[in-house]
Amino acid sequence: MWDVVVIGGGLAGLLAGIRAAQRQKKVLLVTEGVGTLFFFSGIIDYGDVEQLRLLPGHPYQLFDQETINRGRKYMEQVCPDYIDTERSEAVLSPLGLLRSGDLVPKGMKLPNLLSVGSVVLLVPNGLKDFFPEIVVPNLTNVFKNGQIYVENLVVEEFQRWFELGRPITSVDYADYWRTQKGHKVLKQAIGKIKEKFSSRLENGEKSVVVVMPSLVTEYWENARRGKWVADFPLSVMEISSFSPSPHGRHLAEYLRHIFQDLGGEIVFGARAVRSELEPTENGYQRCKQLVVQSKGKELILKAEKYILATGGLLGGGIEAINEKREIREAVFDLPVFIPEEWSSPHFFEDQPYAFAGIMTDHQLCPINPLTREVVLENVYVVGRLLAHWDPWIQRCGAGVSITSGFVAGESV
Amino acid sequence: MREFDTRVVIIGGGATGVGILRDLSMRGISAILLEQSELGHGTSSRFHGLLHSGGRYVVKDEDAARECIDENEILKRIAPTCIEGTSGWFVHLQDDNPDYMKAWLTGCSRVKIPVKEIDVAEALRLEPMLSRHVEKVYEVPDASIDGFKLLWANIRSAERYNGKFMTYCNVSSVRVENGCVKGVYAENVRTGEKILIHSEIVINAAGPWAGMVAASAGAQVSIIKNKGVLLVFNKRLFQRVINRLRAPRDGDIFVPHETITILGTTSYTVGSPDDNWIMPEEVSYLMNMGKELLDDIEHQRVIRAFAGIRPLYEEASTVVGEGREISRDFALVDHEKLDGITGFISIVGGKLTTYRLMAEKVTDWVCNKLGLEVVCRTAEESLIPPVEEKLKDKARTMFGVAMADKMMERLNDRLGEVVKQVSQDPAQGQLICECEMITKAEIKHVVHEFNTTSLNDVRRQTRLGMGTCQGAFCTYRAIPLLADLLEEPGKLREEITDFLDERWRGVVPILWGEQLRESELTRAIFNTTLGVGQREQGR
Repeated sequence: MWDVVVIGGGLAGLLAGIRAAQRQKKVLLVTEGVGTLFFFSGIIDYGDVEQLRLLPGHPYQLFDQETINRGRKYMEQVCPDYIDTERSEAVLSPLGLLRSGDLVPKGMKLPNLLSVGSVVLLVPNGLKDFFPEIVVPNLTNVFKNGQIYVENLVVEEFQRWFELGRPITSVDYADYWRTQKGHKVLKQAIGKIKEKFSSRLENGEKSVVVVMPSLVTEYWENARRGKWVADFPLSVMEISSFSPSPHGRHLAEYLRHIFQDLGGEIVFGARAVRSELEPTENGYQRCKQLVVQSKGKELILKAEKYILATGGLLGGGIEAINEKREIREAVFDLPVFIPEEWSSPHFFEDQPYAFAGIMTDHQLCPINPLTREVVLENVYVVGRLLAHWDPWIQRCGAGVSITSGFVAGESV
Repeated sequence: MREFDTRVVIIGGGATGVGILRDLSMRGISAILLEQSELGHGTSSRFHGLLHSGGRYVVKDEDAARECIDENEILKRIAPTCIEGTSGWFVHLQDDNPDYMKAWLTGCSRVKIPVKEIDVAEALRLEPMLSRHVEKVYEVPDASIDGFKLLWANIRSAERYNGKFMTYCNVSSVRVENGCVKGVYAENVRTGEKILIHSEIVINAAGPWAGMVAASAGAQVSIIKNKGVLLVFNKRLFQRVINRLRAPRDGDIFVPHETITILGTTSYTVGSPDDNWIMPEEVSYLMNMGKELLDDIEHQRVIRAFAGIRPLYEEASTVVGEGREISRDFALVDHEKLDGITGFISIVGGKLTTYRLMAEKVTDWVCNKLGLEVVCRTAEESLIPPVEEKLKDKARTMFGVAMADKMMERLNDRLGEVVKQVSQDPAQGQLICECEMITKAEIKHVVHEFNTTSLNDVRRQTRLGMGTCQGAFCTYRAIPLLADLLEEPGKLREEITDFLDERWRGVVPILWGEQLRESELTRAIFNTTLGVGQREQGR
């Protein structure tokens, strides 16, 4: 018997689990994978919270501003490598364009743009889905007083891949930077750049910045060990991730470690398939136990409370099962809010179907969209599964996940 | 105004138009083809991709069936890399009319369509997804054909014989003096340049647009514009073409293509050649119809819906009824007889399977008109130049067999160029489109050869973005190439939006299940990860 079972190991589920475990709860997290963190840019967006709180039914309406702020602070506390920015034009997109971001990894935050004299774009040879020819002109616009240089970093280990035309993804490179050898190669490459530019620096020129894609491990590891400055005498900053995302993988790994350090337990490769309900004393219903499929077997899990963090249409928490637009929530068969309008004819416009999801009360317990009555008393819904929002257009995906995950972790 | 001289102008760059260009060029008659958009953007790429055996028409129209089986055999010979010899089944289900089946068998034997009965148990073993209500199965030489590939093969063959074509060139009017055709006035829709082409003959092969072209010469052609909706599934549901053995109706053909399957079609008369939007009801209707042949259709992933406009010829005497009542057979309309304009003909109706025959008839007419006696050779000479075995093997070693073979089907004799590029620079071998396995080198080659300026044109020539991801990843990967193509860098966002909108258009009618999930990923990538959505446009 657990105090809490968290279903889903994405951002919302992990954070909820961490908060609950920290509050001395006995927590089990069951997850199939890392959810949509696989596609995470590395940037935590909150969106325009004030404006979004005015939208009918938006998940931010479930919380007061102070709670939202507390969630944000909590995330910073859990992940000290994530720091607050002044929102606008804080980081670089994979195309080298300026992009806003609320909490970003330290290594990603841009320096004072006007103070930069030289920018060296260090490109790991043959890196898949990274286009220096596009990034360089964009960087020229970003660093208005800077001169942009490109250095190709040839890594022996990947040369054979490159010759065979095998793609080398940013996750492959991130893995390599993790190894001692990779670490050394990187250190040397940056050392060389430093040498090359030292005369200019001595001549009182403005600062030199090295910009790199997929530097993830370095900033996590070095930030922890405090070796950053010694190893990298130049300021080295990274570009946000495309998919597959090394940043997303790292965040997932990092949060899992924190969760496990706090005594939380995890079952990987486990899919919650159904639940058994029982009536409560006051005439409502609650979840009695959960059935989880793992390695071809069915496990029965019992807990006082359940946190449902299985994601939305992308993560698979809900599925539009047919052309009649019926939507099903697989674990508890919760009633789903389904918008009347479905889609817009233009790709970049608002897509109403994105608002499909589970409606909840302020405690995040699921409610029936029509009667507004609580459906299950001991189930808490968090993250993308919530109804009435669109993380991509409103740019608040991580914000809603963190806030709801934090709140659920506090209340279970 | 730029002026050109030629003997014949062809209006319309669909299968019929390019077929005529090839035939004329092979017979040594100078010709220029004008296309208002990109080649094959109309009906020739918006159909189920079925190379008919004639079986579908054998009961109602034996002549059409006979033409089909003849052309079927010819095309398999001259265009093997555009065709997959899947064979086709006609499937009689419980409760289907047995009289139709009898008439069908008699018709096939009269028209000489080879028919082989397949034992039902064997049929279900070979095609396990087929409905359990099947009672009789007959095999005929249906096949699947790639309309795009066929088109490029024709245009390249024509080019080898000095045939010329201009795309994005809209005909403003046919120039007629004293009842005689003198050429056409046209305009390059991209540059606005005015063009005058002097010619003795003008051929209207504009498909659903043929009525408008005829009107610009003061002539009349009545075209019924008949919309057919089709669904694309993400895998091969069947290995063979599956037809329902009954009077042709909606949603009774499945055609496998490479890794996908197309289900078609509907039949609905519309007002304009551009009226090819798809309603959710049409999709539901097709799914219900398809279910009769494939019980488990609801659990299959639909990646896209699209619609084509059949240009059906309506003679003045024909009573207008439902689309399928009118013959799909073609007609050659000589405007000298009908409207008193010498040297102007319209070729209307027909189907893709008989495009070559239509071209032959038109070219015969042209020869007759010009007093030339040259015989047609399009049925004998291969459309596709041979590729050296050594080169094929080299490509297979470089890219792996599956990928190399796909490439060869698209590139044919141009394979050598791409192989050379990649051996010089391995980075050129990286995949831009992983669904269709298209390398950077191939796209660069196509862009260079066709002087292409838009991603949608690249798509038509290479199949970029036509696989299951429907543009999620390949659009991003095409950005550097696109930046090269565009003269104004500011247009990059616009171009990406256009391409994604075009892909979106085919996804909107089928937004459920796994494809909805895929669409959410695409939105996440472009709105958030890359931040190129409209909300950022102020930047």
